[in-house]
Amino acid sequence: MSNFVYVKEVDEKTNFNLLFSELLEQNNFFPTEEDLVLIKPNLCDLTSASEGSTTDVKLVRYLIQEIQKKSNCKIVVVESDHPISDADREFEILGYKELEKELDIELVNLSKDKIVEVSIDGHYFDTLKVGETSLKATKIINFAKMKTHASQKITICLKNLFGLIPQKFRKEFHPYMNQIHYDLDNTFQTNLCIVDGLVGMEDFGPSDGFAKQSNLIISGTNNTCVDIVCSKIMGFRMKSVPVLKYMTKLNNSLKDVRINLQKKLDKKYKRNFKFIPWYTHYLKNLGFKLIRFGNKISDKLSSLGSFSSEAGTGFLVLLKGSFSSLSSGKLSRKDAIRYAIGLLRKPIKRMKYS
Amino acid sequence: MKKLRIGIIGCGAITELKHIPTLKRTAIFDIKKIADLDIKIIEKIKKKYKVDAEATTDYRELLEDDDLDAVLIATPPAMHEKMIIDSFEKGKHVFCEKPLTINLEEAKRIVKKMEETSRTLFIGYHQRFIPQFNKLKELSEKKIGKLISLQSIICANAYAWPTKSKDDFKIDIEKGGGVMAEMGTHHIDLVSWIMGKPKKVWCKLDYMDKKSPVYDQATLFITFEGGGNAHINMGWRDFKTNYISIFGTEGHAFTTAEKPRILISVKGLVGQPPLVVKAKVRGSPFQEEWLYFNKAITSGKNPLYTKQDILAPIAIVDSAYESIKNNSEFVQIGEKFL
Repeated sequence: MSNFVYVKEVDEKTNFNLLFSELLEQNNFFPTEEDLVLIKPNLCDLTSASEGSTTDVKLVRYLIQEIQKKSNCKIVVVESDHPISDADREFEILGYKELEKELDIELVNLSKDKIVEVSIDGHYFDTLKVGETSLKATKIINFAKMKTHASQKITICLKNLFGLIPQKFRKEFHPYMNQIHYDLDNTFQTNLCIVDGLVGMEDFGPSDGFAKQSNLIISGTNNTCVDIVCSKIMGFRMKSVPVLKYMTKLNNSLKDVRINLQKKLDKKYKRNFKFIPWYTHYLKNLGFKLIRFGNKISDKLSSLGSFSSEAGTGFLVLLKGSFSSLSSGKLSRKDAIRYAIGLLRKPIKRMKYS
Repeated sequence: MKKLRIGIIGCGAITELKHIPTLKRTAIFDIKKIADLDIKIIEKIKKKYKVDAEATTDYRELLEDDDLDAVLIATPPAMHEKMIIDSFEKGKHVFCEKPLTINLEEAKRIVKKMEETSRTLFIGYHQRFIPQFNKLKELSEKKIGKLISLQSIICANAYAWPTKSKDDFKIDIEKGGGVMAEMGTHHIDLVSWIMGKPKKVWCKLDYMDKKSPVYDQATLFITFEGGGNAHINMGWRDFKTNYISIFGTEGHAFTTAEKPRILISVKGLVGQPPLVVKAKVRGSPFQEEWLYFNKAITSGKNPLYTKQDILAPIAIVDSAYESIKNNSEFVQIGEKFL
């Protein structure tokens, strides 16, 4: 594993087969026939890649074609179910099923895979339940998308590993993302990290934001290093990204992440992604802090934490006028006011009716 | 499922708040054209959601586009018949917002044209795709025995809905307004889906808010050919509830729209609290209905919207209004399907 990160600018004239071939060479990715290569794209909902939310199946196709030119290894593409969608459906709707037939690979929904519990003695998990396929893999390719994240600020390679946890509902993990990212990064040794930065997502990522045309492909072999470079590309200070702050504290060598060309990121690669208002980000993280603290001493504090986390979005709707999410469609300021009034009245009503 | 090219007719609140965000976030749909009488609304929506679609003020122009596979019709119900029939004639599949119409004869003409042209018709009763209601339907077929009775309540503040049109159809009975036709049809549809073919209807309409421009409370009692009955209460009030309970010879199950779980009491568990059955959550109900629509078109099968499914809710509403005219007498509706 090296700290090198490669950033490529692409356009409609780019020869992607050549690009991926070079990318495999640069990152010393040489699979053999005995290898089981696992590719983990980011398929967090049913939105097309051009909306900035999911890894572009076209890029995954190029990658697989180039791997198959090098070796006759077995290739699996994996994803697990999420609260708002399930992996089988994502495979079908986002074009991965066609890929399976066309390139003779296998698609695995980790939530339906044989679940194995492994002891990892990590920062959050003592033991971790994982899909058997992800344990059997001899080479792991983390094919992430370049997106913002309401509480984590960015969601790229480290966060993409979250999808290797097979359970569908993972809300309980959200306050502990830094520790969990660390555990996953250690458990699943990634051999190649690629970021689909053709169209990223800005504003309220990872699912409710807006597409950001970026025309970049980023690659490396170290999840944290790639995320550090991407955070710079997106215009975020590394220290403002909680997980990067956490990871670099634990590993001094990461502070010296180099890019293939020069130490400072060339201006031409900077994309400056828009982010949600500071108060929403702050309230979400304050909420998670309270939940973490509350889990140790009091349930009431955890409830307050959940409230603060939700209030972050509430303030955004109130101040910006609207917000669109997959689960509830577009919410207007009027909806937010009604909801807030209801929420404030709730304790009084509860007393009245108890 | 193949990628469908969609045309949208009508840019009211439901289109902007629900359908466009859903379509934008489902990779198998591509919004190609949008029609509305107000071009400014289209431009605003296009800009807001970054939709790259052609705009027109004439829906017939939209229908001329041979590249479109299907259309969303989200205009007031009184305009549906002509738009749907025109769409079928131009070879388009139709996703129509509820209610399809409030007139049974119009609905029959729509169904006739649908059969003639072999097009798919879907009606936007998204509550069928609320996982716990879907699960309740499944339980009603397998675990409850013979269905005896269904009770349901649907209540919300319709005036909080951000209607855009100056000519608000929900307060005009002739145009499909009133709590029963505008909101209650969700439950009328669910009830006829679960209970089967309706036989007789009794109805009572009220003004709970004396200032309401249209009736804001409706109570329906429906009997069904299988021998069961249903009691539905629908209200426009400043609180929200969405509840269904089914009672059969072998059990009783109930749920609300808020939580994906059903409480069920079954034979042999005397003295025990109800069992909790979880419903499988996938996407949002709006996304689920669009996915179903795509699948129905791709496969050529539309099991959720048979002729009876389409006509039953309209026949019930039609008969309910007749019951009111006849001083709340029971009205036979069986033969109205013919």
